[in-house]
Amino acid sequence: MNAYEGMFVIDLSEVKKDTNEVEELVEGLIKKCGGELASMARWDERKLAYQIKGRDNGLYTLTYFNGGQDTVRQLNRECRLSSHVLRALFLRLKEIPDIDAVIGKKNDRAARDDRYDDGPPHRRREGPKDSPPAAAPAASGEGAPKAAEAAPKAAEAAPKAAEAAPKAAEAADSAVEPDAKPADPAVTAENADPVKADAPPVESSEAGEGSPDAGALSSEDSPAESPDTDGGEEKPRADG
Amino acid sequence: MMRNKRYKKFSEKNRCRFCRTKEEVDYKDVTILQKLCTPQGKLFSRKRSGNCAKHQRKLKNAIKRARFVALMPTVG
Repeated sequence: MNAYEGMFVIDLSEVKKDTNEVEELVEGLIKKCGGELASMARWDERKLAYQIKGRDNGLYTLTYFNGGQDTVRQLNRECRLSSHVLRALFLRLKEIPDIDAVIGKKNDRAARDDRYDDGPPHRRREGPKDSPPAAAPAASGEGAPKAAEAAPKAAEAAPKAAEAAPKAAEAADSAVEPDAKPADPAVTAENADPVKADAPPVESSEAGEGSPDAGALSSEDSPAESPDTDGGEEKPRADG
Repeated sequence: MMRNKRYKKFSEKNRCRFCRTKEEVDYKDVTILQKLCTPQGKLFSRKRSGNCAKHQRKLKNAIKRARFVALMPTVG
């Protein structure tokens, strides 16, 4: 007789979890295949990492039993045929452990002393990413209080710098806009003269509002751009 | 002899968490197994996990068992 560990994933929609129906189902399966149940406990009820037979949740039942060579083979067959069991995993052990200790170890996570909680060894840093370099521990005793004073000041300066950054970005954007605006009337003035000469008179009110402005801009800008013209005034010809 | 002494100080002992804590690799210990996998559910290499060869092999089997009983995802 060999010692085995069996983990059954039970479908909760098929079995009532409030009653002993789960334990009776598992015990019946093991006895049917020639095994002797040593201990059994409900390990966890949790969401599955992926869907099995369309189910998202399952009840994990941990069992320890003794059996022969054919026991596990028959158990696998019975679990595959059963509609209540979603998955079953059987492992051979050297000896049957205390099931209460196993359940307690699973629940007692706070007692774990894990030094590598902050990541793999080659990626571990001494401090968090956002901390300033002044937060590193100082070697000398005189440097330690100075470093302690510098640390809160650096912490205060960091949010102020964060606030100033978007304001600087807004100022840069606003500085760009006035430079762009004067370029527009120069472009429109150059293009407006040939268009204005060729275009027929427009009777709409909106065009009427726009045209005097365009005319005013063109009359003001044209002397600077085209020195040949005299501001639009016609000089009398000297033919005499 | 001098070469062994020179390189001895660069070796970091007890980088394997299972050698240091003397715990067995168990497929039911999902919290530890998840730390030794990427967010996509892939196994970390020995270089990244810091495990010794013996425990890396046991870890590989434990993660595959956890995936079989849907304690850990197979993809993503």
